Amino acid sequence: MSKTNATEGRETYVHEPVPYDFGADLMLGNPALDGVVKCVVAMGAEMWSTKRRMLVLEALLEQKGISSETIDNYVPTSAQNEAWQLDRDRFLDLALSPLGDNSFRSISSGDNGFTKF
Amino acid sequence: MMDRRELLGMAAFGTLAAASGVTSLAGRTVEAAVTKELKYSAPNFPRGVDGRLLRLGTIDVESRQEFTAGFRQMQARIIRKTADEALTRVLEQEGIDPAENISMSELRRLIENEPAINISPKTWLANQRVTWKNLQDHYHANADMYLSQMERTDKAGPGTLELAPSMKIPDHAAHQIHIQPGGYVGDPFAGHMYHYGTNSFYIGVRGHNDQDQIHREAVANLPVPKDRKVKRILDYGCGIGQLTVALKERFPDAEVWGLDIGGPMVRYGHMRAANLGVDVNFVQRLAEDNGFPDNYFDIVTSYIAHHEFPADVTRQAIAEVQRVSRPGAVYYPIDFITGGREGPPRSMFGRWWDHRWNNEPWTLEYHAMDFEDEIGTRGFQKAKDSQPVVRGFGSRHFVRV
Repeated sequence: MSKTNATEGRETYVHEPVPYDFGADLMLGNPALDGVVKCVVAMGAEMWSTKRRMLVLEALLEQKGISSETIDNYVPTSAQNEAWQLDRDRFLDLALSPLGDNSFRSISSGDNGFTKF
Repeated sequence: MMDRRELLGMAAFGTLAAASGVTSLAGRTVEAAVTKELKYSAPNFPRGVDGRLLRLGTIDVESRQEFTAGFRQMQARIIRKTADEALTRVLEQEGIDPAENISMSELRRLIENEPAINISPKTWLANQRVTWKNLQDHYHANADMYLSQMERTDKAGPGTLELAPSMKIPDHAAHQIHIQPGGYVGDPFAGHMYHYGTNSFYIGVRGHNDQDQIHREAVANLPVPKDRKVKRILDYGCGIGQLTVALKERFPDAEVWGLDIGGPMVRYGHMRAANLGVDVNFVQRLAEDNGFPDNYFDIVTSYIAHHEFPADVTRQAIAEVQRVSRPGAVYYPIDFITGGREGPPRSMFGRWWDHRWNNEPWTLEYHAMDFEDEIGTRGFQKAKDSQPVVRGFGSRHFVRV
């Protein structure tokens, strides 16, 4: 996120820091793998914050008389099932289908996938 | 909120320690200190406080921090263990005894391009990145509110704040330690980020510190001068002043000073102390040139500051402590045990990636020193039978000759 202009005209007592080579921590033998690990951990944080918010939501619903058991036992309508499965497939395509991506093959295989360009 | 069993355990430890003569709590217990709570008005802080800790601004920011704390625990329990096993295999292949000391260059040769080993620092750093980004994004998105809060308490008490906006900050103090964006001097919310970032860090390494438990444990066990006179205390490299506040809580009649080079750090520390109702004085100054009169202090402390100093600055800071502490004063700089330039491979591995990738620029210099010897040659004598004040660190109880 870019910094806001709320600091303009205000004394913030900051000093220029010594630069650091953020992002140079390439240690898995392939920079792409390093990036993937960063993504996975960040995704985990996002997923947990979503899940925790849902736990709060369920706790509040329980206070209003809708128990977690009611949620567990809820049976979606066929229309809902259809719509949710479409959403599930969109999610799988976006998040996990790259696992099967064969656009890039090992250079040593003789078919490096770049020839099509 | 603090786990009651932990609180009781700490209080019991303090009482036991006092009874055994290891320390004096000056009539106060750790339990008494926890009664201090932050005083914030509701409109600006709808999420309220948890004892001494202001709840983070939104549930999502809080949840991400909670994730990073949990991740650290899992990382230490599972991923680091797997990496250790991989390192052991590499050592076996190379015919190196895991208990034998090796140099840093040898260690680097062994681990470079070994993903099974490097997955440990990689995941640790990825988590660290989430920690800082989550916090920095939040504070900058709400900068006006958080700056206004600090502005309101800059000149308010209890306690005082001395900032030095035109001060020349030496480069050695301007590194972005722990890959915290801006480090301790370069972001207006450095103190905020450090506080919540280290809360996650502590859970993965030493246990909960959201109520300053670790700082209060250290202070509860801190030895006092033989004549028991404690009028003035200096805590240099104080950061956001968690130890400083704990010192004032234990020694309510003493004049307590927290000193740090990071303006945003002491600014946040003062705001927090004022909101806790604790009367301490914060100054933005150098440890190696602290500006206090000769023979002024009865106790001088620091908490994990020296491994962030170059070796020559450590020596200057010790000399400065010698100057400002009175004969008989207690000097207790808490920090890691130094261990020379070589060590067993596992230890050197941790030291290497912490230095290089967690941006601890001076830690190798620190470890290469004999820290206690440096203190001993500058007018201090190590107390006999002294005990560590906090687990995991060596005893550093020195008395000014």
